[in-house]
Amino acid sequence: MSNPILNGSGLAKHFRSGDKDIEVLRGVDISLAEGEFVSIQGESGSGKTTLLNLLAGLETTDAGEITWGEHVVSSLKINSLAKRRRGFIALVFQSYYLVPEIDAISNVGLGARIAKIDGDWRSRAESLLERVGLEERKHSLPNTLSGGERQRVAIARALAASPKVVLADEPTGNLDEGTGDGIIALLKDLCLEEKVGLILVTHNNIHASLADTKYHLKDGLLHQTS
Amino acid sequence: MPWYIYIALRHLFPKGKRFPFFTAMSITGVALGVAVLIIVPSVFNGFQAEIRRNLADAYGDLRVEARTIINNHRQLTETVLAEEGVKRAVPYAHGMVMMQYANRPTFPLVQGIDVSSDEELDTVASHIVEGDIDDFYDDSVIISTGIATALKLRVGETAMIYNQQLLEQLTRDEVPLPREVEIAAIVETGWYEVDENTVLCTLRFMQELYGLGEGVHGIKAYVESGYDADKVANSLNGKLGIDFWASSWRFANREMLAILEFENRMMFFLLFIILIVSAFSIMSSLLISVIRKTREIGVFSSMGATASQVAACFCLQGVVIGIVGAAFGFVLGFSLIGVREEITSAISNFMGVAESMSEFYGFAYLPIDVQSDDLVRVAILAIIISTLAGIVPAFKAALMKPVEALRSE
Repeated sequence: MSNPILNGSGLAKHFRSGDKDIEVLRGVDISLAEGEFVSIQGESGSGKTTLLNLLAGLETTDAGEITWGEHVVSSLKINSLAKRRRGFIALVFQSYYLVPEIDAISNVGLGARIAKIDGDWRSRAESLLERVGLEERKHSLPNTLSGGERQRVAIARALAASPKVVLADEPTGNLDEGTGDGIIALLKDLCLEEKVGLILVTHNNIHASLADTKYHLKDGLLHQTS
Repeated sequence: MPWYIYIALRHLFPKGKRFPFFTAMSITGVALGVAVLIIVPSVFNGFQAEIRRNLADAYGDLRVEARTIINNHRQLTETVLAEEGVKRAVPYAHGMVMMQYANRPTFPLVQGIDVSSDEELDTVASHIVEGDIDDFYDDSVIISTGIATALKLRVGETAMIYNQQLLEQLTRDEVPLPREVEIAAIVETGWYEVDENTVLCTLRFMQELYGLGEGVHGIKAYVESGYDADKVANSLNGKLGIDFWASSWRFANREMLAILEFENRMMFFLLFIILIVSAFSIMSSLLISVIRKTREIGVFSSMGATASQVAACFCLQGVVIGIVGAAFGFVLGFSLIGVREEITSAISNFMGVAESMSEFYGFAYLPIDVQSDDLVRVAILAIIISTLAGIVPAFKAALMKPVEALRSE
């Protein structure tokens, strides 16, 4: 594998719930190389989403260091992180989170526009929609698309930002098994084609088994599995 | 177009068949406020313009007066006419007499006007409601509607006028004989003070009544359009010397005009509250929108949107509501102004007060004076208020932490 493009070392995070301190992560080390596919499994509430949020710079760490490419980002402020995130990290969510007022192509284009990707966002969005098999539905509003179609739009939106890393948080959680399998295959293929690193958080063993590196999060620590 | 402007517009005007209810309500609120702020001040301005016109008609644009009777009025009139901006100057005399008809007395103010001036006669003629200006000569008078009502006088009838000289005759044990005058016409200016108690006679008749000889009480002057009567009066004061002074109709009626101006400002301030109310409606709509779109805001942040871009997205919605609302308000306002006569007559008929407007205001129609300054002020205010209404939701959106926004239920 080449040098890591995303690295987290000694990541710790705790939350307060009433009088109790809950240690969610206790010194997690993780790295992702260009084009690598990493999966993370774990029980509900084990801290998988928290780990993704830390890696995406959406949440601050209690301890540890996060590096995006050459840059240590764990000490940056929210606005600086937002600007660095452009064109580096994109997220895919379980509930898609498409903008309901705009059509599929505009949703995809939004990824490129926010990330300030050079070139015509519309042609990039059209090309990505074609690659996810939705060129016929490009003018459809999200509420007229099926769950699988919405997630494909969300994947295209993530890739429209030309990221180096895609962080996918249970992207098949709301989909049936067959549709979910198709989504993961699509996500994996596209990331491989674009040489984009992919971290997939999933409960699905089959999806997790497709990864180059497989982790299991338990008791706040990340364990590599075979 | 930056993405946040695009999203702001799409939040307000979504694609597809979704009806933007919040947008429609917010825009309607601003439009109604703007329409009211256009219509009501324009009507007020219209009333004020009518009142000012009547004041100026009755008083002249300016008057030159003296402490004593002005005997050299021709020379003074020439001096006034020579002043830049003065287009017409005529002598006048005024005073109080007792007028009697069928044993009913009244004490009107008499204005002696120069009948050699066609413009002066035209001005009087424009206010005649009964009779004819051609019947106006030295032994006839024109009375206001108030006098006609009080004495139950009609055009063509004869009334008696008693003046101060008769009192002097009494002191000399002479038998005073009143002057008989025929009523040539009845005038109504719409200005209460004039309409209530005024008699117009020729200047020559007034000079006889008051024993003025060739003297007059003052010079009434009118200025060219574009000239300020106050400035012309000030300029004249610098040239007339200490025995004479010039004052504009505005100065002479400054208390009344100050009240009108105060009314106008207070009315604008009170109506402005409507815009404030609509601003709260915009703010609550946008706050609901921010709450509804919390996760969306989190997604924008996760995609690299900065806090200022997120804030701009929601603040712009306030700006757009202000601009569109103001535009609709202008259309609505001018449309209602265009059909104001139909609306007022419908309201009058419905309430059974069809005569009230002409009775109380002296106008048979609803005067309108739309001032461009007011329009600009209303448009700017509407947009500023709507923008300010968008700032609170914008800050709320901008201050959201991305992860908390994404976690929200």
